[in-house]
Amino acid sequence: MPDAATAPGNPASGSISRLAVENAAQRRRRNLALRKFLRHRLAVIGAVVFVILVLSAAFAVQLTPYDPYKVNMRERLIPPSAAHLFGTDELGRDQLVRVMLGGKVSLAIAVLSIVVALIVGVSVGSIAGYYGGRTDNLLMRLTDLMFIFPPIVLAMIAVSVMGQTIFSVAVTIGIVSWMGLARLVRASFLSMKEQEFVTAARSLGANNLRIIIQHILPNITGTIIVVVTLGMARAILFESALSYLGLGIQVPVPSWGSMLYMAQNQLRNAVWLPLAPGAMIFLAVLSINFIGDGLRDALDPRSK
Amino acid sequence: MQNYILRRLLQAIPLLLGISVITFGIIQIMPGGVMGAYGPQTGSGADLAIIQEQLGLNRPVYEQYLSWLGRFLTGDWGRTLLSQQVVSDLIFTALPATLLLIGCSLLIGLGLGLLFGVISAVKQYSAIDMLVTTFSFVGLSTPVFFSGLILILIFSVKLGWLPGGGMYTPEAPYSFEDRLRYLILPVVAIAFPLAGEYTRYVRSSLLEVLNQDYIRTGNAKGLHPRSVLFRHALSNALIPLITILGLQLPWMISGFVVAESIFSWPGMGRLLWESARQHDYPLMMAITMLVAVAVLAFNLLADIFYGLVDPRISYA
Repeated sequence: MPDAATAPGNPASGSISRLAVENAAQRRRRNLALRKFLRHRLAVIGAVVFVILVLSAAFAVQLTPYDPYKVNMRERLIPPSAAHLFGTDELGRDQLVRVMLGGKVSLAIAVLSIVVALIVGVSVGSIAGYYGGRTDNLLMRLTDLMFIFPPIVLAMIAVSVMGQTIFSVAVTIGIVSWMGLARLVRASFLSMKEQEFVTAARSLGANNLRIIIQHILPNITGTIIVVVTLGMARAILFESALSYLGLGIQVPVPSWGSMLYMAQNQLRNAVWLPLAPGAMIFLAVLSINFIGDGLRDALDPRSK
Repeated sequence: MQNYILRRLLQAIPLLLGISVITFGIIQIMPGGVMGAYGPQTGSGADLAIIQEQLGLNRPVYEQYLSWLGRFLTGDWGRTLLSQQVVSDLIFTALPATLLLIGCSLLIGLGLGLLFGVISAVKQYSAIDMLVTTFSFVGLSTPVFFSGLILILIFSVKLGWLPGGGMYTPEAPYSFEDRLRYLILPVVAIAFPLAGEYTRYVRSSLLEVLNQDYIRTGNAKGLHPRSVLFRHALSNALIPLITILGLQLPWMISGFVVAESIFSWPGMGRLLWESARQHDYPLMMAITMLVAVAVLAFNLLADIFYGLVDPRISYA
């Protein structure tokens, strides 16, 4: 152990102090990123709006006096009023509580699908980039194949096979959105795997898995986070498009897309009905896009 | 160059085969399989058995696939399961409608994206840049079905200025004006998010180029600023945009499927949507393959174009 020579009293102190230096450097980097993010005004607004959306989805039932599922035919299609801020739908259910609750489904699907895309994309990308050769070739052809497969076609077929549950819709969206991530991760691995720190780690006896996970991946987390955030915006849009086409979550559970789908049948009787769910999708996607843009400024080393 | 094109065409074959195998495979594992297209009211068990026999569903799956492939390649795309219409007829009636919609929306989306992207890059960090940036974010965050519904609500339901769906007035003779009236709303709904996205790309791509040495050289030797911007900067900034356009095409198709379904546009998107809902596999397979060919072709064209305009790239 080379540190023992510089720290004769305590053989471990050298590595401890080195750890402390590393931690301080990491903390400084993180603080810098946070400051950059906070300077991005739109990103901060986006973050605030997004947190409000999440909270309102989580506490919808507690925050409003209405039952989101109770059918009340005497109060159907009431225009927005003090009692029902967003009016009621064709079954007399309060639109406000349903819109708030709808966020739960839409956001859950977005997060779940991103996890799927993240797992598949990062694994495929790092394996292809790290090992190269025939593995790389095979995996990249697979990526190409998925790239030209129009996502809506694949999703339509996949949802009709797997059923219209939160899980199946999320997995479907994940399956159609990992390819960009895989290409990005692969490119970073290609440029990084020949660098000194990887050679150093290998000569110290680190195995391939450890090099991939502990040495190379941490260098590109910033880029991955940005891509994933923007991917979440796309996932929400895609989920609502599927629901809108009647291929999303089944009806009693409100999701923004399916509410919009139901609302368009009432367009002539209840003009206000599509506005609330549509505006929620728009707000969620917009706030995530702003957050993503802020994160890119804060984390992406290429941007200034 | 010829070798490169040839190589790319050869590479496309396994990709297309792969897509057809996956699509065919997923249809097989659909609940009810191909027979799922026929609801319970279609007929008795004996009738269904006859249909099954006629469609060749009793044979092994790989045999069914190969026979589909053979027929598909020779131009026999089969008939739809329920209405017994000829698939290729359906597709080639719907195709022009979709191409018209795609063409107009892309033209307007790209035009606006270019205009606003250039303005906001040249005036980086100005008030107008902030405004354009905010608007482009609003654009790319607006789902097509939402903007579509709002447009229908305002211009069709409330004001009654424009038709809310369809492609032409039924039983009226063809007129350019009539077609235009039906085109406006769907094109605006689709072009709005596209314009937002392209504005972002043009802006960041142009900003990157504007920081480079040869732009400084151009300015330093006294070229007219407009000539530096348009002849030297913009032409180089637009090259990566072509590739992005190609890569985005598969995602754009989702927007068209949704838009065609809101505006009852009699195009391929609607056809695809209906075929998926009815589990009509001959139609589904044919459309999937056509779309895949289109995407591949577009990407190949983009890469060839890229090679032609950027001398740094060689396809030897």
